[in-house]
Amino acid sequence: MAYEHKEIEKKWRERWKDLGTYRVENDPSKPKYYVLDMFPYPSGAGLHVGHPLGYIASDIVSRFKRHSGFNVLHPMGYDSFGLPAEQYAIQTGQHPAKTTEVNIARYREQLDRIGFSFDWSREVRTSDPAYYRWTQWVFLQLFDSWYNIEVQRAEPISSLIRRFEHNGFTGIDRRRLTGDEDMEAPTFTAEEWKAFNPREQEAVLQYFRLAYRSEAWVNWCPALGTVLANDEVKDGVSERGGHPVERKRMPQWSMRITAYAQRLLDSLDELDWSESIKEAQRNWIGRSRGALVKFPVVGHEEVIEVFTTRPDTLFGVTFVTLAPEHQLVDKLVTPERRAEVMAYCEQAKNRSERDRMADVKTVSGAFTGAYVKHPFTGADVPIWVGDYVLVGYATGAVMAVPGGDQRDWNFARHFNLPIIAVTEGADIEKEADERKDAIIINSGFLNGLDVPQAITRAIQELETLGVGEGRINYRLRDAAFGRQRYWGEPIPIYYEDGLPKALPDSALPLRLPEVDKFLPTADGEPPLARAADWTYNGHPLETTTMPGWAGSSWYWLRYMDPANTERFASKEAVDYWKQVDLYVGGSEHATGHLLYVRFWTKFLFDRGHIAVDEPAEAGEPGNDNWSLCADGELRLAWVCRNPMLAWMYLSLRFSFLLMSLKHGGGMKV
Amino acid sequence: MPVEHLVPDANGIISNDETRVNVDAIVASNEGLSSAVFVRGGEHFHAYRETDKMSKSKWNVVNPDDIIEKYGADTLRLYEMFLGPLEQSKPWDTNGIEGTSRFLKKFWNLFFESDILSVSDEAPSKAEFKVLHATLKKVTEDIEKLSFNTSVSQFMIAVNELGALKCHKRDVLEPLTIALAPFAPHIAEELWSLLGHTDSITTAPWPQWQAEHLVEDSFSYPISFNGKTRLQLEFPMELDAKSVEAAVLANPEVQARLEGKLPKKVIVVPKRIVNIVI
Repeated sequence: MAYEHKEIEKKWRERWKDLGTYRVENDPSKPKYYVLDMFPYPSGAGLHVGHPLGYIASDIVSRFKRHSGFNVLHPMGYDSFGLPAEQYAIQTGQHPAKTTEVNIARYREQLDRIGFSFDWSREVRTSDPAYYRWTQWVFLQLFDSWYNIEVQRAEPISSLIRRFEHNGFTGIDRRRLTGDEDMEAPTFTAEEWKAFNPREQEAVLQYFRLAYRSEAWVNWCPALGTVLANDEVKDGVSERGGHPVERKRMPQWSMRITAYAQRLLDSLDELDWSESIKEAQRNWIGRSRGALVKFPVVGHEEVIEVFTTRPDTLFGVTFVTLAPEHQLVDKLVTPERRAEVMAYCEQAKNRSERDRMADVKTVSGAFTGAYVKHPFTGADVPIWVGDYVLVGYATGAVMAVPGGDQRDWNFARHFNLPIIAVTEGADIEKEADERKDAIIINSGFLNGLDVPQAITRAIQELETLGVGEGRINYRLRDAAFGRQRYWGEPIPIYYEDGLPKALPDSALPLRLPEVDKFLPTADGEPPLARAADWTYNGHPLETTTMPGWAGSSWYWLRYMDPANTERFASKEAVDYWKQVDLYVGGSEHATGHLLYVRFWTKFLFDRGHIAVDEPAEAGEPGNDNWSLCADGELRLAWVCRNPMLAWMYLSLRFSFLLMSLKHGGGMKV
Repeated sequence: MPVEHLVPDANGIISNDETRVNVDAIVASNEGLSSAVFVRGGEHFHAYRETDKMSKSKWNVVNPDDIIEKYGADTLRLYEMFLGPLEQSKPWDTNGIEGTSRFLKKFWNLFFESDILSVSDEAPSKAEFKVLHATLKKVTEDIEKLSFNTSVSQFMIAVNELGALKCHKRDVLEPLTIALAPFAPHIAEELWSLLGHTDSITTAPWPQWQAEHLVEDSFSYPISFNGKTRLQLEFPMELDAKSVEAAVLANPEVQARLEGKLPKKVIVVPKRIVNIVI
């Protein structure tokens, strides 16, 4: 009898399917093992030889664990909302659901042929209404929650409203709820709260909700009728089509991931992930200790606040720079400087943030004619506007220390502003001295101290004088959550007199409506506005859809109980499968997907829906469980202590790319 | 330079901003593209790249279906795992796939003689057990480390050694089939059923390796004359120095070298060396 692979493989494929060999039930008599693959986006190109590499590796472990007596959960599904299907729809009019269906069928056929031991009865698709019903549910949970920093936990918004009703938002109660951080929300007493109309109350609550709608700076492209991401804008025009793009404040849904910044940071230490991926997340969260410094504006009531991580260099401040979008620019600019400054601001607004951050060669700015008072020396310090300062980061204003910061130095050189050396050994003729291991000079009471000592001393002095205070700042921003696109989860919100309201659970899923075209409307409304009756009880529904990362932020939980119609997954299932034991996915997701998954997991834990607050188990020394790790340099996260497979995965993937180049394949980007 | 259309899959698209391809990442991770020029034109992405003969031979298979059609899924699985030391970036080169395919045929043939299923219930020899348990040990440890390419190599070594030993014994082949099942599940299921099992191999208990079968029980002594090694003689590990000396002196080849003379001294270092001073 010869080895006939075709016959044998076909026979066993069918038999496994018929017998349900890889079906898995919650079986408390056996130890569980959960092997998770990063689920694919079903593209039109189908699988190539590089794709299965990670899946084969995780399949080997799954099978090995079954032989070793474990009850193994090894599911597969599709991250099936996404842009290529939408692009194809725009071009051909074919509904993205149809394209997606065809692509999934092709993927499934290919995956089946490789003999994976997936339990296909647990397949999930993020674009399936039965799935996104629960994505919408998580969104509503977030909308219904605020982060109580006193107990470091998300709580129902009702508990916040009760506090407002009893204590208002003032004095010590305000400080407790904000942790002394600035918040634009007004101060009010309990009586005032009760007297607020619903609109005023909701306006306050939006400062607290974990899913919230606020005015945010966006890159708006009028010609395309959509908001563009930072890297879709080059030199003030859209990459696609070269249309003008402007910075604009627009109402936008966001996720308050910043509430979780410290916890996301803290529990990294316990995770058994590779250092490089943890470091990527640490940098992305970007915690820094510094000071908030208040510079009173000469001849005005206003105060310019800046956040600095280097209050030790305060004596080196020779000017203050405002972002072109800073609200005070318009107020402070002197009449004789107004024309020039406003023209400059207008032009700067049309550059994307990324452009402004990345471009260190071009120095541009304008003098407002106004001055602030230096908090320590009392000297007059000129106020400039410069587009290297971003409005979304910290306060949108910087104290410029050209002796200690290279971008400030470049600016000072260009505009011939004074440069003071504040660190011993600095060569300010050549460049700024950014060292943090220097001794402070030319700085009054800070002279002779090293940098950390000087930081502490400077903060003390600021607090004593009442002109500033110590602060922790994070680089992490809240995540924009609304997209002006069709092929995503509808946001389950309707508007009553302009106020956002949660759809009741009984109205979920809020299904994607039929539209005639998958493009924005003529007046720039997102595609959902094309639907014939996009309302709830006569009230307009939200027209933006969720971003690509929504559905993938919790799919690992749905696999535990994918058919459940009462809950995202039953409590028994969630308690049984607990966490992922082995995960294979991309480290290109280190600061995106993997952070969002951790955020949603912590949130669901806070609200009592699951019993774990991380998707993967914390590492224990000597424990030979695998858990997620990855190599930051590579684009494949490898889950174990072995990031090496990534190289191979990569090479295969790109080999495929080159092969397809040869074959002239043509999926649209 | 030729113009080529680049086709990124979903993963090549920046996850949060889905309309762009991460060109930097693509270029940075692939030497073949380091000199390529990327131009975005309309909805398409164009890569200008010089193609040379070398690369043509490397990129001649596009998708897994072709390989499965020709060699089977088990070969694809093994081959993708075998593709090289994992820390090295290797181009997808189908030249090696024949070897993987041959390995599966050889594994299959351990169960057959002249195309007839032939598995004996005879007890395995020491050498056969050693091959089996060395393989189980290596594969078990390698899976725990996710070092799959070394597991595949070990299977290949085992099959060659068992082939040389003409081993067709159930007590060796059955555990080996279970160990291969995670890597090549189809062929493993088929052989498992040919061995008479009616249930799937999926939950067959993982065979445990036993240290006793890995113990070396003999040692090959270098035999030297006045410090120069002339030959090797194998003796049981536990044999004491006196017995080794006696056995060495009784050996015909040693006697021939002594030409009837009595050695001045015989030094035996157990499990190391024997030196004969003439």
